Amino acid sequence: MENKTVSIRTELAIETSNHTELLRWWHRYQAQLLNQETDFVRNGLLQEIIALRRRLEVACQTQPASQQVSYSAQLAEMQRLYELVEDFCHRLESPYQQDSLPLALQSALKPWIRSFNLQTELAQTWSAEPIEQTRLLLLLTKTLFSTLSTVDPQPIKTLLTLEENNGGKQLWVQAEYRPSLAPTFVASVEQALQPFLETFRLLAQADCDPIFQSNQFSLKLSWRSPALTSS
Amino acid sequence: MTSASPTLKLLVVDDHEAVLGGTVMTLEKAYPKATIRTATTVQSAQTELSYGTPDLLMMDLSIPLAPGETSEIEAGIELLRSLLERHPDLNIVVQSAHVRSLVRLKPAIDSHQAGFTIADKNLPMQEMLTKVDWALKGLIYTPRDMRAGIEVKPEWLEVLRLAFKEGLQDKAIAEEMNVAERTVRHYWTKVQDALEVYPEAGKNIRIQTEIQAREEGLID
Repeated sequence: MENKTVSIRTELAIETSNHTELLRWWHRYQAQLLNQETDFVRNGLLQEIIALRRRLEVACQTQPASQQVSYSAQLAEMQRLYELVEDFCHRLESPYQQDSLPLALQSALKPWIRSFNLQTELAQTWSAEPIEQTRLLLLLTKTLFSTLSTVDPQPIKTLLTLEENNGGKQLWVQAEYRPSLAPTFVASVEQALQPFLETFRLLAQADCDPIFQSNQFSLKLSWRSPALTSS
Repeated sequence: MTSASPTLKLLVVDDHEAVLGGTVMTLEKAYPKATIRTATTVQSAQTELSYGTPDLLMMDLSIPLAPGETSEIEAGIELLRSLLERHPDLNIVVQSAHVRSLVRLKPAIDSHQAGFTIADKNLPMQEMLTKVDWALKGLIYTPRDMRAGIEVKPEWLEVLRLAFKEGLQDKAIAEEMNVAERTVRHYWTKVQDALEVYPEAGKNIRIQTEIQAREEGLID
């Protein structure tokens, strides 16, 4: 663990007079730290739970039928405990965050699919995304959907599209409403999104356009992959 | 569960002693005549493989490179990457609490010729054994959340078309596509995984595949 901490410091050496780079460093540092903590829980506590579970399962097979009800209850408890710890891991680090923005979004959006009548069109391949941008997009999307679920009216239909063409990337959320959106809706959503959008603009030199119409809200984020931006 | 072959050779790789013990115990019960060997590091797994290719390798992803070193997902991922490259005929089950990291190896998994199944370590014993059984039968299983929608390759669609629109059998499909019959069977396992169609007692998997393929609009 000590070696890992040292490697983070080395890898994240930056020019501290550049505030954007400093902010980027901070986000990357947080991401790596949480990744280590998540791995620590997965390689420790979760393995212990799995080992206990396997022992119980094997023991259960050798017991008379009269005792198997008790084993089943214990196994159900182990399952519940495992799920709690795994959920905690997901809170520390969203699933697929390290590897794929489309899959990470797909996983993050699960709680809203039914209630928002949400359809997704996610790119099947995605060029490497800096971890700080992936995290920010996930947080932004979760915040957006969480906010939309707490303000009236509720959308009747929602579409989220993530696409990449020639290095140009776009995340587009469209929500349709009936009846019309109230002014308080606009204020709530703008207030919740603004810090995320400003940070994403800064880090990814992105165009971020929230548009409020009478029966529709849409948010379009457009940016380019870092390799193309820097060339 | 298929009956265990007397010559079945299994190799289990896991650095967590208690988990390894539990897995081996479970496999011994299901496959009493099998030879089960174990390894706890990348190094010892490679040594075991140098003695001969087993019928099935079951591995964790978070393992150390050598004794005394820290367990790292990267170590398991790299071991798996090299196994997929060097042993295209090896049946593999990945049993891990880090299965999502496998998305990094998706292209290599997609082109693997033998059985490949993924079992979250938290799966109940019976489900874990099902994944072992499927891998031994040469089937593919990857969790749904490792895919953004239905991902199908043109050659898999061609198999569906030739089978369900032309009514061809595997041998004829192979001739039509100018590939080996074994390759056609491999395409079937891939498209079935994409459609989430897996063996179920009492059900014909090809008919299930046709129904699902029609529902998803892959064939008319």
